[in-house]
Amino acid sequence: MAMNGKHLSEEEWGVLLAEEGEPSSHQHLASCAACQEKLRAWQGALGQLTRWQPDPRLQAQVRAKALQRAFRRPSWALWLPLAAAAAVGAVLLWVPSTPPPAGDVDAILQEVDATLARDPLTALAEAPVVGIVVPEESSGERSET
Amino acid sequence: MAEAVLVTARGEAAEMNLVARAQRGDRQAAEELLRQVELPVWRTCRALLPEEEDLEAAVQEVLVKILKGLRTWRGEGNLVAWATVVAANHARDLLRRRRLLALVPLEGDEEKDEPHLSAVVPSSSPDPERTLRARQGLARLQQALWQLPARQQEVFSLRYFAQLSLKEIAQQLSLDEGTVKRHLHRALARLRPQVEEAWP
Repeated sequence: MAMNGKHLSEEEWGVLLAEEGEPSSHQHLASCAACQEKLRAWQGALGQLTRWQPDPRLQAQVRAKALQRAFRRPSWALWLPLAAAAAVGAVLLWVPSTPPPAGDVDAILQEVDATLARDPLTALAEAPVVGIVVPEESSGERSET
Repeated sequence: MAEAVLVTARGEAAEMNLVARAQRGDRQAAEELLRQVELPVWRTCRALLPEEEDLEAAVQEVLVKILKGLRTWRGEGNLVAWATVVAANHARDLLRRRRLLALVPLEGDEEKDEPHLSAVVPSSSPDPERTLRARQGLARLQQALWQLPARQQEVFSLRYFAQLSLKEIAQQLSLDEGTVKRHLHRALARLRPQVEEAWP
């Protein structure tokens, strides 16, 4: 279209602004005052957006704040080691620190052996286990049968 | 040609080295990476956010997102392009929230409609009428940019703020080059009335 002496089409403007543009568009622009004016308008508009610079001090401040936020340790990270230490302490307190002495267990086993050796049936009858197997309330009924 | 490829490869290796250091908690490396990506982030946020939105807060938020995202960055794609897309997405999220809040108008909101562009066009311009027109034009151009569909905003930001070629944009967004071209042409066509009106 530009080659026919008409102005650049919307499509040609799109190509020109988005990329380098076709050689025919450049040829037309070189000789068309109206399209040159339009190109200046686009350069002005896009330049306002793409050449804008933030204040360097403000830029540095915003960058520093972002870094501070991104590299800040979360509050739970400060408490986590303390909480872990407290949990370990609690576990250590709850678990007995030393096993029962082996001597006590041996003495109990010896006493049991001695009792059973004397009279195993009496020993069993006297033992609390009978009271558990045969409750006191039902002992009378059992004797009647 | 081979030299250009070598330079690009060295640049990518240096960038990956910085990323690896930042991932290990090296704050200096992270700062260096931010310096490389922050200008397109500022420009994208400024272009896609209304003036009443806190630009510094928005950029800070985007930079934090970038630093957190770096922890899992594996070097796929272009870092500047990725940062620009993060900025465009963040701006869109803020605008979406703002639109939801706008359903409930607050007292004093009407005062915020006035464009505030003093940082863009110096007031001491020799032609006040032209300056005023450019200011108003920029405000209208920004409004038109906010109203673009998400994909068109991304493509526009990647082309003009991250300065990527159409091929690079296509790679970044996993699109074919023809689709990228179509999105960009449509975006430019929608901005054309504002441009021609304000910069005659």
